[in-house]
Amino acid sequence: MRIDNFTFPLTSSDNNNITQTSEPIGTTVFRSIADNINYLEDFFQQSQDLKNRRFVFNNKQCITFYFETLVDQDKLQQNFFLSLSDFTSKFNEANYPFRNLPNTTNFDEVTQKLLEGFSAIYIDDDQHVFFVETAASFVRSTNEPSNEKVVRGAHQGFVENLTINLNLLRHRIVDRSLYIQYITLGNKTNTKVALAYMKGLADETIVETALTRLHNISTDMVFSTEFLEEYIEDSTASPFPQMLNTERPDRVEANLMEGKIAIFADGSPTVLLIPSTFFAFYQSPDDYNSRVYVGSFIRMIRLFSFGVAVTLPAIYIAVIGFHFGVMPPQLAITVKGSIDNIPYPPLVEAFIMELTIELIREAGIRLPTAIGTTISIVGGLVIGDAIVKAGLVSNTMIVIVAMTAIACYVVPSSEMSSTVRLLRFPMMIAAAIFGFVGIAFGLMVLLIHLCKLESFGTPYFSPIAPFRWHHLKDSILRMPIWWSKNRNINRYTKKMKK
Amino acid sequence: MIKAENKISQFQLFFLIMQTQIGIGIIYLPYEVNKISGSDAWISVFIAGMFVQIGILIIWLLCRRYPEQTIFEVMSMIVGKPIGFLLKVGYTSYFLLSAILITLQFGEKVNTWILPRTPIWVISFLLIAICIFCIKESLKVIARFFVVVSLLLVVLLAFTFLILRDIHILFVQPIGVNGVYKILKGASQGSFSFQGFESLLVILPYCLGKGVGKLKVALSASGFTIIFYTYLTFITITYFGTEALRFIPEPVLYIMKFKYLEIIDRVDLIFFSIWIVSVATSVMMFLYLASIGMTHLFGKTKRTPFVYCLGALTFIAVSLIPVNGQVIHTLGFTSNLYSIIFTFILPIILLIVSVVRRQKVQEDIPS
Repeated sequence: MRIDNFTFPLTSSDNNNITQTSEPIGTTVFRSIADNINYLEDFFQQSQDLKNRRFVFNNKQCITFYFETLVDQDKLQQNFFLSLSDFTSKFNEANYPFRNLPNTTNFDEVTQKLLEGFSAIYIDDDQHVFFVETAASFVRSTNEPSNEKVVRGAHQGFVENLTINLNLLRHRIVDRSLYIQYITLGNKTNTKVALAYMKGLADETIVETALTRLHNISTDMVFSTEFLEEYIEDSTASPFPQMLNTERPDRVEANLMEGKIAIFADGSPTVLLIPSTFFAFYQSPDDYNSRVYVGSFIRMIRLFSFGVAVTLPAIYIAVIGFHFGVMPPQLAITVKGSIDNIPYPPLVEAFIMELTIELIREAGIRLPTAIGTTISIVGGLVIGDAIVKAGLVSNTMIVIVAMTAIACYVVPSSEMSSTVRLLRFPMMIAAAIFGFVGIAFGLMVLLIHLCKLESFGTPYFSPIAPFRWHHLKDSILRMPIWWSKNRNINRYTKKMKK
Repeated sequence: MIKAENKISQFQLFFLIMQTQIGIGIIYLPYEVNKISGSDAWISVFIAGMFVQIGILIIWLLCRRYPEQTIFEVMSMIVGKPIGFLLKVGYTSYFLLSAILITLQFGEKVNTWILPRTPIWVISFLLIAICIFCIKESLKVIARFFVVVSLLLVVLLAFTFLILRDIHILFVQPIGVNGVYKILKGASQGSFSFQGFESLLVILPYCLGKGVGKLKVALSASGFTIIFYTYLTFITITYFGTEALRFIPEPVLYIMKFKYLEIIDRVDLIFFSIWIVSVATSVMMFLYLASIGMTHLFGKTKRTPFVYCLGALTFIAVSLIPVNGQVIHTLGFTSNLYSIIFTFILPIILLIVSVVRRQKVQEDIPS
């Protein structure tokens, strides 16, 4: 039960404090320690991991509250009780042990701090509550993210702890313009979300937009940054991811230096980068760590893979179903030989194979390595070879589907890869109905969609649409780093010398 | 006033004009002009292009007097509301008719060349659907799209370079053998393939930059189209010869069909697929212009409902009109007449009236 604070005698200074703060404050801490104990335990509904330790200091009753599940007991002993015992012997006003500790009289702050892993110290007849930092954290060590491996470059990855992640970033960008803003989201989980960007490089309007969108989120929980993504992205209906996800500190560093904004969330190793363009998903830190020709070549291979992954099965279906004449005669004979015994149309054939591949992939992801190998043998050998011998699918179709599947996984970002995998199905259907005309129309729809998509006010398909010649150097090709005199700042109005 | 962030750059204006002009003409222009002016068809096409350049100049002179308004706003200012209303109806119906005609021709060509058993209305439906999908967005997005697909023109050009080995210059000699009258008559026929430059009437105020710069961009965009079409006509005549060309309605495709590449046998199918995009851009532009006209006609600010409405109208028209040579010919004739009135005569009249009445809105674009 809440007892109004003015039933207890307050000093004049306390009164002033209360009247001066204009914001609505919660309950103030009581003077009597017994009331405090009752109130606190009731507030946390007698949760059994809320522990306390009583002690007497300076002839006053004191009590420490802490969550044993959040607190490192050794730390509490070392940081607080040991130093306290020193003081008991030679106590005077000058080195009063609590004078340097953070304290409050606000009850809401007490609960907040307790939940963050602090220990709260109540002293009888004193309205101040003191805190000792005793949080225990159990995090895995930072190692290379398995879905974003590079051959050359840093092998470091983010972990599930916000402070460690920001620490990794601060170590990489040692500059005062690196600005970090905290927001707490989720009514129940109270997850700490951090917005990091370079002041002066990042577009302030985009920062504003991002902040407003984040503040407008109304949810009980935030369990990952990807979860946030859906709330703040521009178009949920679009198949394309509009924010770059990464677990690599070097990638975040490079993007921040291009004026992007990074969103971290506690409990998630993934960082969202906004605004992102289509081509950002096709870049990897590897490109910059290898030679110019190699980097450019690999990038072009990746973009080519996008084309292959989206259109190759569709082109095959169109050629088989409508335009046999496109193939040179010798090839036509071979292909005809292989598809002659297949009882159903190429679309069905393609769907059988594509779905099989998707099944194998989905089955392989969550299995332990030992069983995973079995799946790949079953998938690769048995289905690949036996399905042809059984006359269910033609040889050429296997080749096409295999090439498409490989092309899908060339993309360095796993989300873009899933998008590409999805896109080829409508394309295949269009090709099966209208042949090349269908493919042409399908690609037009795709292109128009890419042209109109924006990520936080930045055109998604830039620098192709709108066309920016100078930015092509670093998006489709990978020209020498010292060639780009200007930063690829997301807003085209803003150019800065490197 | 058009907001600065909705405006397009001059670079984009170039491609908007070019993509609107280049379209259905790629396939049948050489055949049509050759019917009239024989081996001098390429000169006719070039002269037609020059007419068009004059047309652009007139439109620019007219638009320069009203730098922030589209033709639909300008007309009622120049000739008063009642006549202005009639003209608005006229322009909107002209743009709509152009879109319908291109869609019809497109349907017919797809039907004869690539999908013989698919009904034409299905193909038109596809085309109209994609146009609606694109033009319900702002001009900025349309411009972005047009710039990207212009890359495909490079591919088209590359395909035509393949046949340069096989042309015979003798087919166009002696130059000028058909006489000035036939050349000019061919030119008047050919000028309709350059339709699309009249989009300037509407999109010029949407473009950033100063007046003279816009004129240069418009002239060079149209200039590119002139060179492209003249080149196409030239190579088709020198490839087939004027006599053979009289029997080949889709000469460029036929050339591609005979061309054998190592990895692709029938290049014409690839060429055709790319050409589809060029046609789609033309229809998109005309429907976009018509939708702006409709919006002004009804005095509304939201354009999207009219886009759907126009799409439905086009579709109904296309599926009701029986597609045969006779109908397309009649429609083409009407459209040509319309086009002369609305792209040459009316802008001149409007310009003269405007000059006589001394109307001018000061250009206040900061330099």
